[in-house]
Amino acid sequence: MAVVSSVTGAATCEEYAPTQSSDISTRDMRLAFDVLADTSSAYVEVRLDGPGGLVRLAPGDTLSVSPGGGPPLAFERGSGGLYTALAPPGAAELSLVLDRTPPGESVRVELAVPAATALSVPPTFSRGDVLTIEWEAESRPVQELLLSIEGECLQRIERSLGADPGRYTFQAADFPPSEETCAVIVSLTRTVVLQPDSDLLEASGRATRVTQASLESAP
Amino acid sequence: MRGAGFLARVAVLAAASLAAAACGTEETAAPYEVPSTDGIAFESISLVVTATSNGEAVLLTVYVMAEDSGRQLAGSDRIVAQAADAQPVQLAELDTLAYVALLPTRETTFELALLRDGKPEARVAIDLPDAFALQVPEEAVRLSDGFEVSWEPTEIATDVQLLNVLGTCVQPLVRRIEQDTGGYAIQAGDLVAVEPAAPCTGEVSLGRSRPKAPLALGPESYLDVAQIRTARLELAP
Repeated sequence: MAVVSSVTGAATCEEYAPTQSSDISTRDMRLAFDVLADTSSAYVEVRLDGPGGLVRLAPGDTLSVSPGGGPPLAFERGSGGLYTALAPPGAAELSLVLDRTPPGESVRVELAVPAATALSVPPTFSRGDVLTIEWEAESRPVQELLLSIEGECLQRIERSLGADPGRYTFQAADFPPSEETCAVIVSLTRTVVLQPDSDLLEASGRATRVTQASLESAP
Repeated sequence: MRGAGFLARVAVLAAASLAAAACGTEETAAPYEVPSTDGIAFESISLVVTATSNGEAVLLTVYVMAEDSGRQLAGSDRIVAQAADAQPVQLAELDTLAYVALLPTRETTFELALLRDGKPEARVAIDLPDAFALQVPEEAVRLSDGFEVSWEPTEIATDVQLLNVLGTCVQPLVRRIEQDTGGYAIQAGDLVAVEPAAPCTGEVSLGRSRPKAPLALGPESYLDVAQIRTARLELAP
């Protein structure tokens, strides 16, 4: 899974010693997250910051993610002070929980990930004809909606859609002529920018869901 | 005392400026003289030609070159364009290196001639891409509905075609037409409204360009030709 992180938009090099979470109030923390879900998993990346920069969890403080009310999954500390976790792929709701040893205040942040969907495509299509792709439109506003198709015999074609119509047709005029037959991948990428409510800390980030389907492309 | 100091500084600067002028240290660039076609054989004169037709007229721009540099037409040298349905038009000097004309023709072939002393010394036929008309809906279209655009397709697969949609109420849209089926559907989701949402008059244009190709004139001559059509339609959010 290719991950382009928005969490690491801030400096990830630990130039200064991170603040221990035991030395900072939850109310002084900021939580940045990036979720990338596909058909195999939901990769969650979190960065905690305080007034002095990066915050590292002290023993007794834990960060976990619960998919759709399921059991919590612990984060691991990765490179650059980021915390990462792999959750099951299907959940449209993820709860991030920062559990702290009293008197530290624990906090739960709810994330709404773009809903899982399936792409409806024919098993094969001719590039001399149209290819209609259908999916279940996202009811919530989506900040980025990208549909693409590519394969060995088909250079990547990308469409950035302004609204989620639930269907799109690639036309013969979109396909460069070629005599080859090959497998192609259709990808639908939906990204939402989130600023979940929390009384205790400032949380922001984005959640992306990638849905793919493969089919055969003929001349 | 402040006033005296200021005057002293002005005097020093003025003296320095006068000295620089007197010593000739303020260099003035010699005016560049554009070489002309005077004395150049026609076989050595190259033309870089751009011709774009909107179906009613051809806009012609010609750069004159010889011996690796731009040239101004000398003396009686002239460039004339002529089509079967139009009187000959002499290209006018746009600047020292470019010559332009608007040839009122619907033809897709016209002739360009180089004249010296009123006699044609070199002629070349120029072929434009196939002409076409562009159709868009006459009634207003909603961005969420999309719309269809159609035209007469070309069989020349090497011509490059770009379809553009512009308007103050939508983000610009461009599509390269890879296979010409004579139409393209702008779909729901393709057009992104500009906030605040408002209706506007949009412009749909299709450009049909031929890759640059050598022109049968001087050694550096080449040709860049296109047909472009634009149609307006009303866009509603």
